[in-house]
Amino acid sequence: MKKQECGSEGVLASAPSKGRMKSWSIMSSSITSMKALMAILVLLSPLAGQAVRNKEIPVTAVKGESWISHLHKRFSDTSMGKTYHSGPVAPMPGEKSSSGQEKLSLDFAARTMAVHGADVYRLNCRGCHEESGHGTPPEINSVIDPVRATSPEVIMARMKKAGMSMTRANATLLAKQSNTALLDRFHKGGQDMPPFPQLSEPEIRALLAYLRQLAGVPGAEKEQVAINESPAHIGEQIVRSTCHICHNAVGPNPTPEQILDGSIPPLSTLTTRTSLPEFVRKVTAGNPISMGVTAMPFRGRMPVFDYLSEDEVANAYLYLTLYPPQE
Amino acid sequence: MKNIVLILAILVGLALASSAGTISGQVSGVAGQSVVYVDTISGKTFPAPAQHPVIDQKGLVFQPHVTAVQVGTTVDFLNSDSVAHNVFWTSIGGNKKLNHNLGTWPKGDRKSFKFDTPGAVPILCNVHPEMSAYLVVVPTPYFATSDQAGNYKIENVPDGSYTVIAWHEGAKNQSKPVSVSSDTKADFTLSK
Repeated sequence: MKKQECGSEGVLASAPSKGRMKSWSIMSSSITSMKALMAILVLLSPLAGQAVRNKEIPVTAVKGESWISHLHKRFSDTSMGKTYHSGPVAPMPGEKSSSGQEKLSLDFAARTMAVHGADVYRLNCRGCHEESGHGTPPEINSVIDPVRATSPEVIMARMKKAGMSMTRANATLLAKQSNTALLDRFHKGGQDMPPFPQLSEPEIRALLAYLRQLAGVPGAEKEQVAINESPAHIGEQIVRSTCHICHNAVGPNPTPEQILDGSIPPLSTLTTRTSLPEFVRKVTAGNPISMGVTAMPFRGRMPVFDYLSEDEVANAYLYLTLYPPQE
Repeated sequence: MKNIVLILAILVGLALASSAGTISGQVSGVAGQSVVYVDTISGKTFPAPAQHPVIDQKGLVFQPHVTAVQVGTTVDFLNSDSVAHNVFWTSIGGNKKLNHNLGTWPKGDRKSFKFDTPGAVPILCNVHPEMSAYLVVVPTPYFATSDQAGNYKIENVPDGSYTVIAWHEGAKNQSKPVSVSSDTKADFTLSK
């Protein structure tokens, strides 16, 4: 499928590597094909820059320590990023992993995507708050009640049910306060929740509309809107909001022994450590990892993000390549 | 002469001390904490206490669930959670005109409110609808909050005849005349 993207059609059509792109699935571990991939990505890079529709906030590199490092938490002591509570289990070594997602498109790096609030939630929030929005209390609070609290209709219905009355003006005032508190949380974060400076105002609005739908606020399904987003910004959201919860931006690559002891590899070495197809498979379907004094393949601790499409995960790889992680 | 005044003063003091008793007993028929208090005593007013009782929001729960204060008391509302909380009430003693929204605020802040009207105040948080607490504003300094089993004890009540009222969330108040002389018993049976 071709899309008119600021001359992208020409670039893609004339790309000498088109034939190689088709064979990604079988060249996963070869270093030479890795280099070919990087060449494609570099070729596409000016394009990805031009495709940024979300002009309010430029795409910026992921920086600094992971959120759990910032909180001085060990991966084993937190529910953060552990979507595997609700998601599938990674395959055991030797087991075949299969992703239920659509296969990677050839032009993933050139396509803008129509992103709805539901997608903003998926890319940024679901890793901790889960599909339902209930999270894993008491560490990760439910988003449902704070979102319902932003609706005057819900507040009035609640008061009526409790046998108390409230004027619409008072309910509206309460709803406004709750809305301000919720927006404040997205922008500034909380004690345990990171802030989300990578999200623009239109994205926050789309997210709020989806959260209202998720929380069962009447009429919310009619508020859903789509935003066109660049591949790099899709990748940025996944990396900064989800991966960066557990992975530091930069740092030394841990040895298999250190990985067994709980070390988590940094994001900076990802694109040199893994090929794009390997990365996509690891994230969307799971792949064994080498751990131990004598390196052995293990299931690993990383959750399987089966709710991310292969294209979206490829965009995360693209983002990490175009915007290398920083100190 | 001075000695006589002193002796008189001591005697009056002793007389006063000996004329204060307690009201104790049990509130039954309902589960959980109740409030028992001496109703308005005609011709008597009491200075508002300087101390500010605290109602905290911690672990998405109001703590304590039931608080009783004398009219005129300022109550401090805290937020010890890492999420935003709100405090509002729709009435005081059933009077809807006394509804108030104290605001929505993050961890660490505290907001105060002076309660000048007696009556039960259902305290709610708009952000978390499952949270609720009760503040019972009573007209005299003679009140007690019972334990979970309903046992209560009101200390330092001067001997005399009073109307004593038992309050419990969702139940009808029950009042009865009580003559206090030293340690007096008064039990209540409430129904919802």
